[in-house]
Amino acid sequence: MIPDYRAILEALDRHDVDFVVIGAVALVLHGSARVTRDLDICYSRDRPNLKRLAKALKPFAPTLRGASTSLPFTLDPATLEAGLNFTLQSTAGDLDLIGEVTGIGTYPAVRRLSVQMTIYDRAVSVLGLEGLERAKRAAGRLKDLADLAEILELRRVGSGGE
Amino acid sequence: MCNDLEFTLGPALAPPCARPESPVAPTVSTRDSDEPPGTLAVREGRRANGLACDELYTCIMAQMTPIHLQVLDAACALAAAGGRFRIADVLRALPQLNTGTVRTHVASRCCVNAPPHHQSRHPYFRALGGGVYRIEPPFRRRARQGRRRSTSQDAILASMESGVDPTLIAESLSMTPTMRLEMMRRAALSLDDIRLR
Repeated sequence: MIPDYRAILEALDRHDVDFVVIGAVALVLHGSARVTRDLDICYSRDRPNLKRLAKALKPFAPTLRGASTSLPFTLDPATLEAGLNFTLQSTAGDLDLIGEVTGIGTYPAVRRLSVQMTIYDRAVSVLGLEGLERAKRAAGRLKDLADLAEILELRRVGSGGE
Repeated sequence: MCNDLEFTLGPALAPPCARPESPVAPTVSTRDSDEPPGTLAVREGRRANGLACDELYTCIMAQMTPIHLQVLDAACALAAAGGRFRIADVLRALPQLNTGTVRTHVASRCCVNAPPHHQSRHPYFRALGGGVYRIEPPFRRRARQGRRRSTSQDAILASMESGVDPTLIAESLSMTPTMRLEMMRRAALSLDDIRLR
């Protein structure tokens, strides 16, 4: 399900969750013309932030994407602490929670490579083009290499931030 | 920039005879005599920013190698009989890469018996316990193949340059990030609608 970006980003912001938008949505926010069906965020693994994250997402009833519906799952701080990366589906759409971005590292490193953008009238951290390039090179799938071409073009013409 | 790049050459791209005994990555030239003509014009020059041009070419090619392949090649170069290797040795052999990234690749993304935490996975290794891994048989031959040919990467470079529509990007850059996101969402919904019809 295609995410309701506004609802998710507003919920995360309202609960002061420390997160950075990464992946294809970050690429789109920088000016890419590609289309994606989910929202990837890198989140801080600090215990207080896990609490805030679980609380922010609770209204969307997140469950594991692709898993059996009979599989019991509750997105609470303990679950978040026990895992690292989660591919979720929710009433607000598909959402990936990434604890460590390949090629960059965990939240502090991702945050250092992020830029601030105004999205739906809120300041949101978005992974910068340099970080996106590193992540795409590290992932190395064919679509990542195709994305690299756009990243290089975007870096050439300049930042697309507001 | 060139000086940063020159440390990206790991054992993966070095010819077998040049594979380092020490964890320090070599900066040798790996120019091929049978490469496709006109691969990169940069090879024709003598020196650029202190690096010989063929060294610069090697550095650029190493930058283009996906990490999972660099990790696989390093593991193959280090593996003992039966394809066994220690994760710590791979970490030492790839000092140019982020330690956490290499560890994640070996222990998770490229490990067949690890929990499926990643969308893209590569079935290269099997965890045996105690930091020891085994290369799955289909992937053990890479180390004996010597330096991987760079022709496929040349092709990827070409497609990258031709695959971007600067008009679309220029149009996108004329919008605010919020507008871009909303437009992309509408496009995704529209694609879904077409699929359902």
